[in-house]
Amino acid sequence: MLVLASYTAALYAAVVIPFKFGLPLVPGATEVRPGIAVLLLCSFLFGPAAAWGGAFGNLIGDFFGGTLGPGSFFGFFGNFLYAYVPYKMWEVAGGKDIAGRRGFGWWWRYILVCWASSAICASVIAWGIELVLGIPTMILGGLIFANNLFLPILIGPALIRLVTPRLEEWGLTYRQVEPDHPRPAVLAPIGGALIGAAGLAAGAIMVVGFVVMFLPDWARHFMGQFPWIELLGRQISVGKLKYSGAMLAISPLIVVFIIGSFLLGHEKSGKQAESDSRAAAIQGLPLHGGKIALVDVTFSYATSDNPALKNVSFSVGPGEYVVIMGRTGAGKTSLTRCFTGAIPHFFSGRFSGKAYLFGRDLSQTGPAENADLVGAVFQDFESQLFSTNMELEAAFGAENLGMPRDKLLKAVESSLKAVGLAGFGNRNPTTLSGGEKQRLAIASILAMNPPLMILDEPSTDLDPVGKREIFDALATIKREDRPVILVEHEIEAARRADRIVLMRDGEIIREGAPLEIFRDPQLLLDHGIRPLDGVKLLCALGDSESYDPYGPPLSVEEQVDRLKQIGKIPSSEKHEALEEADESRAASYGDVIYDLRNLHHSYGSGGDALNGVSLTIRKGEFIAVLGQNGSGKTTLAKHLNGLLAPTKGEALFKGKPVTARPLSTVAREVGFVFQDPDHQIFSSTVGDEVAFAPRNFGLPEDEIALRIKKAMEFTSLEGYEDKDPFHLTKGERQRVAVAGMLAGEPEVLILDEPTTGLDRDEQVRIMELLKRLNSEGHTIIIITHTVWVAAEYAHRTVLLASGKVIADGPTRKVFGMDDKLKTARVQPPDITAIGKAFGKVFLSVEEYLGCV
Amino acid sequence: MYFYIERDGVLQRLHPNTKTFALLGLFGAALMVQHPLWALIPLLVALIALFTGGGARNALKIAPVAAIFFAASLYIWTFMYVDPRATYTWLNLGGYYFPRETVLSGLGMGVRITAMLLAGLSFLTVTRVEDFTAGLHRMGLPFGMCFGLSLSFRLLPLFVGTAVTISEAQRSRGLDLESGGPIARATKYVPLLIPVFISSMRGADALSLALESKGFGRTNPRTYLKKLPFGLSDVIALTLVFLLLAGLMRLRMMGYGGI
Repeated sequence: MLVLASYTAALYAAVVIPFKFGLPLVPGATEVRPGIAVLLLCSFLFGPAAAWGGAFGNLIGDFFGGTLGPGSFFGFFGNFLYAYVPYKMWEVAGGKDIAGRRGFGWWWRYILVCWASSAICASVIAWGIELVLGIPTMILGGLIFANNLFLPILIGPALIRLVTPRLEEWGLTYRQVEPDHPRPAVLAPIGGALIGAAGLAAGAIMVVGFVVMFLPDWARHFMGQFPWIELLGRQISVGKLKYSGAMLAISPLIVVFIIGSFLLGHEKSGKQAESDSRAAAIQGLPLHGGKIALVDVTFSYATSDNPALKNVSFSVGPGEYVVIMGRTGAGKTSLTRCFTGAIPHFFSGRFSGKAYLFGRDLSQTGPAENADLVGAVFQDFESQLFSTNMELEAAFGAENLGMPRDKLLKAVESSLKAVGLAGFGNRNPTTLSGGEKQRLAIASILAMNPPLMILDEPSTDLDPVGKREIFDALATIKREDRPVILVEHEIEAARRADRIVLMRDGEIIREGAPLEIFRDPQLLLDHGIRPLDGVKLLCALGDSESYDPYGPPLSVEEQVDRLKQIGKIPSSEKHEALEEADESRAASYGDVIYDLRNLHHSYGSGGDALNGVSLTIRKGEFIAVLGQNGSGKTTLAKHLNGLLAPTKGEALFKGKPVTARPLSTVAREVGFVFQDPDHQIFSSTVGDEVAFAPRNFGLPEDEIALRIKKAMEFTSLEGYEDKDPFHLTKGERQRVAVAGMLAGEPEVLILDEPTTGLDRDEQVRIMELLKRLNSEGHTIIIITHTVWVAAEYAHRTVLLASGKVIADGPTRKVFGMDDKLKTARVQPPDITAIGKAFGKVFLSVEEYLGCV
Repeated sequence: MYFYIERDGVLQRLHPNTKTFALLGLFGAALMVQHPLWALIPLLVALIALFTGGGARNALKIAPVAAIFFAASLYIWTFMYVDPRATYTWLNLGGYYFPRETVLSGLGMGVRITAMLLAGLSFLTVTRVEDFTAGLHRMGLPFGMCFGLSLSFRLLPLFVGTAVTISEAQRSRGLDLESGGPIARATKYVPLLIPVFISSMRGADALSLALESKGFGRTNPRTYLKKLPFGLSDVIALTLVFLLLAGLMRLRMMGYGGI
């Protein structure tokens, strides 16, 4: 519940402030803020957590807006009540499933709830602001009331319909998190009635008072026949003080609101939480030989019929470094969850078997209780950082364990040093790169000094620099006595392992030392792992004698030596033919569609993100833009569809500035897919999602239907039309995002990191799709960190560093520029390094094979 | 996004609760007087605090907001109210007559609001978020509540970034937020709000698990890395604020500071 409150607060502040548009009613002051509907939605979903979230959200909004003042107190209170009232009144008014069928019963309750909560919020805030700052109640109150009433009525039902089922699937609603939550008791309906009645009156006062202020003289004269209306707008003396009539009229209603809120909160208690029972269970547990082991574990998540783990038996010895690998859905993460107690205590489901952590029986202890024995680092680094200060972040876990302060100071210092973050001072983690954030998460665990460390895909969402930083950090966390379990897709991480475990469909398929596992590239491919280029090459050349008894050569140098030994040197003639093919392809492209001339872009502080970029792009090209984080790749891409305008220089599309046309018009010709497909998906079905762009373009429905069909066929999504996009895997959602772009039939496709976070099979699927699109004439521009993707698919590579283009040309030529690659901190694939030993540049194992 | 200025300044070193009480004291001082000339006292104190804390550029950032508040307040009190105590006309602008009390009320309210805004800004300039929440806990608020607030501060920049990215992503698919009437424009926010909500909430489960995995919620007593020393400078600061408040209160009782 604490997490839900914090999320509500941050979400509310994040959407209310930036998402707004103006109304000409009072220029510069009247704004419509649709984000208020999110708070109402949170109330129905998260109950009391949303009330605190609304209150905190208003406060932090004032912090970040620089408007912290006495009004913040009333904003805190008013927003608390705005989110407190709806979920309680809904229940009290006899409302059933908020996301259910909508008849008359649903609507009158919904409007009543919106009216009451808007009135109570607007009254409290406006009344308080007039009390301390003198701004008349009906001005601010009227505006707040109107915004808070009409926006939730207008867009709230759509939000509820589309969001609620997803949150329920994830088990995040109040009723699921607290199934035994208190229910309304006897006095609650009285409270609801009081709030309802007072709300109607307060709302009417604020609306009438606001309208009266702007009436022309003749209308005011008419209103003069209703003196009580005119009184609302008049200033009335109360002793030595003066207040508006509206404020005085609302004062008793606020008292009614407060009483009503207390009565509305009258509840019958639910069952007592069992939070202390598990912790107490740690004491005196029988130990089982100090082992770390799963014994015949089978587990199915509550939301799935298929077992995530099937009769898994697995153990880890002292100081052992074990890497678990496999496809998405193989059961890797589920296995590690058993060691923290997250399964079955955090993730409910059907569990059988036994799990031991240093002899502690994990059937009785959950993650919090086991934190003294196991430290876990997860894939999503943002979800593991809780503080606004690096040192506090590093200390957080150790503080929770009650580590004495003198030990704590030393632990924080040494853990930050161990991961290379010493000397960062009190920096806010928000300012760190992805790799630095993940290292901070590791430092936080190290400071707890756990006997076992588990890292679950710590590098998946990082760029190559970040990945290298993590793998280097792993070397420092290994200790003679401390076992480490790592879940990874990257073969680089597995090189140093003592043991590799391959999983598929919830079972352990194979275990062994790296040399034993790496020798069989097909085995790795079968498990969605990209084998080492050199090993794949040697196997394809039929060379397996070198694998006994020491295994295949794993380093590039050893592989080159082996190739020389077996006489598989690439032919210069055939390599020249590859270069000629590159040139003839380059000559076959169409007209120039993009012309960037001395492009500069500055975000305002700290220099130019783009520093004089000049390049042209022709129709039909397939371009990869490479460079490390902060080099300007995404900034460059955003100039191509008009999301950003140059601060100097020009970005021309077909001879005209990109920003000369509205973004919605450019979108018909230039499609942009962002890195995270979840940043675009919102519809309840895949079909509706894919239809979004053509509908925005105003196309007729039959044309839209045709485009949906075509786009979904192309992306192998036939049959998915009625599926919920959020039920799909990440790779499938990525394809939905691509289909959504294709339905707009753009000529140019720009994709930002299309393969990040996907396993190898999904990466290949996406790239093959783009290859087909390119073969049909689309211009493809991808921003990527994944060099093998650029090598095997892009015809042309643009290398960026510090906002400048340092290399631009056919991919083969650019990958041959060692000095430029070093400047850009881009490491080419192993096959390229192997080819260079022979004076050639190869972009794939297949190219090398074609040259011998 | 933060207003805090990192420096080893005297105000930055104060205990966060000293700064919180000083802020409340400045609010009280601003509310105590009505006459614009007297309201300049808390305004000046707030400005001194702001510049001592190194917040000159913060002042520039919120200058437009402060100007709007000042102008709105002046407008409302000068144009919209007829003060029943009005004595004589002070201003005559093209046929519009403004009594002395009305103009002074408007100016006074504008200066007071500006003083409070600057006081709040100076607090933000010299107070780290984590110190503020730690101070609240030292005051007796439950750790869970303080931690929840602190977590919200941590998450906000993340969610704002997500909201901006989602806005760009949907606009890249032809979503036009500028055209149409108020109702049409409001409904166009649904494709923005839903992905922001879903993307943000996706991390909630992971964050909860990460919290538990770091021992949050264990029953053993918790320790704290951060020490918040209370020293002589805190005593001096609180004394000064008390003197300001007490002084203004006494002057009000003697009939000064009003209109």
